Amino acid sequence: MKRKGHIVAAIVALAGALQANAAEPPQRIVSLNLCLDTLLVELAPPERIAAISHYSLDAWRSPIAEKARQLPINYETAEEVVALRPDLVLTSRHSATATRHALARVGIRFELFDVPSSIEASIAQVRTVAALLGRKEAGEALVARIETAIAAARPAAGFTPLTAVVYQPGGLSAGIDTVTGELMRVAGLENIAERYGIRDFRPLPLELLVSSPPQVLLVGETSPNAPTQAERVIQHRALRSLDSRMTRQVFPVRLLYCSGPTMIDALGTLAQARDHAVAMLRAKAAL
Amino acid sequence: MSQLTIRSLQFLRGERRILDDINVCFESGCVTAVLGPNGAGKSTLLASIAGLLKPASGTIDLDGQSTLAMHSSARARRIAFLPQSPEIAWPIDVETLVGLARIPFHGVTSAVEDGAAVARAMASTHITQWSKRVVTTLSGGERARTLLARIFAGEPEWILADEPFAGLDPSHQFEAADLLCAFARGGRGVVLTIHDLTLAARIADRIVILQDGRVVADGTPAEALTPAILRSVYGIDAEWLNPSGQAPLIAIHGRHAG
Amino acid sequence: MTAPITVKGRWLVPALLVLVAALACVSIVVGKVNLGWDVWSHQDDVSRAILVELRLPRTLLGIIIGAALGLSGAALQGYLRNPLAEPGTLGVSSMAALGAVLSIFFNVAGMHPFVLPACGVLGGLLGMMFLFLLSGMAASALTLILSGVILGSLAIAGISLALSLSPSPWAAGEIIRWLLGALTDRSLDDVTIATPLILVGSIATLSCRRALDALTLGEVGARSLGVDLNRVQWQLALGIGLIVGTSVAVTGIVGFVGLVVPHLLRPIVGSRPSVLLIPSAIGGAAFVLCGDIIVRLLPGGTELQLGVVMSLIGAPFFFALLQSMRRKLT
Repeated sequence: MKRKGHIVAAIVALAGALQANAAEPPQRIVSLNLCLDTLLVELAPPERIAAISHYSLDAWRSPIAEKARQLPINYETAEEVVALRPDLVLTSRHSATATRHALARVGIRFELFDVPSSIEASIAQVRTVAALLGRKEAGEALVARIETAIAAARPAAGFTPLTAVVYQPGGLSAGIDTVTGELMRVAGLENIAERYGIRDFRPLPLELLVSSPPQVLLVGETSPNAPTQAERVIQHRALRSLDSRMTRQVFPVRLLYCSGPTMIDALGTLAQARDHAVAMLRAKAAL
Repeated sequence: MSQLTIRSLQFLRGERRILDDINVCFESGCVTAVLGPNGAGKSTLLASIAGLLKPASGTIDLDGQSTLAMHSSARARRIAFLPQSPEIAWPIDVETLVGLARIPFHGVTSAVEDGAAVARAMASTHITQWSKRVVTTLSGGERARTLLARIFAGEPEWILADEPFAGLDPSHQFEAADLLCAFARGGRGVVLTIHDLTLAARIADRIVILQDGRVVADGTPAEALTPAILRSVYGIDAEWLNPSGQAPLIAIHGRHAG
Repeated sequence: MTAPITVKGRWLVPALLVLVAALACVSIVVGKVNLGWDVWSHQDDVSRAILVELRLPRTLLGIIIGAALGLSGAALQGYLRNPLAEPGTLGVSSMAALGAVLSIFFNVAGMHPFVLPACGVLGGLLGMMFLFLLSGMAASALTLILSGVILGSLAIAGISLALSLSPSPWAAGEIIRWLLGALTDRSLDDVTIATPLILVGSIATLSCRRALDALTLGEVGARSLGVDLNRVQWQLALGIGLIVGTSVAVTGIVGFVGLVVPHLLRPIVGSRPSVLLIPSAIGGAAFVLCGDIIVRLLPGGTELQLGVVMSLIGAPFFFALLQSMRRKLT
């Protein structure tokens, strides 16, 4: 997903502008993608949401799991969507192509969005979706909150960034070319995933991580019993043996995938992680 | 002198009585042949004595000691069993096959003693020169001789052989018979089952005939293989030719009419 | 009688031990990160972490599990009197994996580190019991292999279902990891859990060696030699259940080791079952170490699963073996 968010945002804005010539903003909106769900839930009042995707219900991966329980859910099949009689469907490149084609055949309006690969692209997407929904003020309010969060997350001037890496169950890490990567930089954490050749969202082999450990390990949460190999690897003894030079901070996986409003929580978590890490490293150095 | 005493032996398979109140006493120093029609219980009798089948009731005593109460290894050391159509699962060499007989002696004899017993057995059956041959390359007759060597290597007190002559040509039949008789002459016991009446008459010192799980004849070949008994047991017309000569022959004229 | 090893075969065990030692040294050094041969003398905490916490457990597990799988294959072949027998092909490994996965599904695996391996062992035991039930009915080799196919398919379906429905969010991604096992990123904790269980299982299996020899003469022949086949069956079921159950619980299914190694060693030490057991264990260790080294030498970001390499070697081998044994099948 390396498309420049700008180009697509522009195309969609154009499409949106054309649509805006039609009568009133859409009243029955369906979203087929988790990240678009988060935008929809922020920007539109509940009565205009016909359904959001079932991915939002996943407590581990969804930032809006609580809210999603109160909203109607769809399982991404064309027949469900058609039955909902929406006047706008939000889809992403991740959604099944077959579903989009089916919607096109039936004549239902859908908008296609990319995964933003930078904060700027994400903010542009927020504005685009807001315009599409006819909720410009809500859009601007959200953008303002995001920008406040960005400012708040920045460390004090003259702060030396700590090296950091995201390490989710299964070894999943985020490269500097992702939104998460950029957020880390904002919060004063230097993402060294590049050192291991990690771009985008890819698993990071444990041996590589151990060979060149960061100062801060942004570790995902595990289920209480952690029996799967994917979860065990992030609690590996090899990582614990590096305790003297590396501190572990929690960064839940649900903050990893989506930008938009999720960035606010993510920035808060990253800033907290940075502050904790500074304190811990200072304490360890004092020993 | 060793004795295998069987009293009131009963073996049931489901409802059927395979062995019904068997009373017989085998003695060492001679070859006893157990005859009878198919399904008479011959194999079952031998398998029960060898401890492979558990009888419903009755006792089997070896010199006063009950074989049913013996530990399986102890019994295996004293009583050897040669089954019908024995299988050999792996292409091992002859010496290893013969050596399998020493398995019940683990912990009882040393490796040197085992090796000596194997060598003796192979010498007495004249197969020493085959010791490195793979068993799958042996002919039927050679295999029979090797399996007998396997039995001898255990140096048992008793040999129970279930149809040891089946599938062998006349020359190899006599070869096997000679080996078993020599074993018996050495003061040990041999009990075997057999279908060939003439061969039985030639080699056995004693004949026991089973029919429907019961002993119907027990004596020397001349006493047990009378035409009357043969008619009632097998339903055949038979007579002895050359009964007192070197090679008695039991000629079978055909199935009994009526 | 102590097994008379032919003069030709006497060099095998020492040679295999040397091979395992050499492969172990290579295994410690090979990986994405170049450690260099002087790593034992100069160590900082990073290279120690890699050496002690990653390379060492991997090498140790390779040896332990390879030996376990080689031994279990040789023992099973001896018992069933068939060179095509192996815990993987006969469905025992799949049942062990099912047992382990069910402990994840029912959320008990995290209660204690021994719970998952114990469930794997139970699964392996069940697989062995089913196998013996079938073979006890005088099943031919064909029937056994078919039963293995059925057990394997059932278990794999059960594994996929259980992991897809599991409450754990990462379980669904584990399906392939269970079906094609790997030694990647195992820790010393895994070694601590696996070693005692596999040791007990190996002792139980090895103590059946005389009975396996006696079975050369068939079941009747073995029993006439004083072997208590019932007891042997339980002992072997327990031994192989422990070995295979624990191995699968720690690494996932790594197949074909128990099939290939005894077959390669038979021409050297002979076909007598007891004589094959220890060499197959050592040979199995060498085989798995070798496969794991290959896995690490292959280019690419994520490591290939060890089970894949084993299947790539083992499946054609199995096919060639089948061809040469056509008449023995029915």
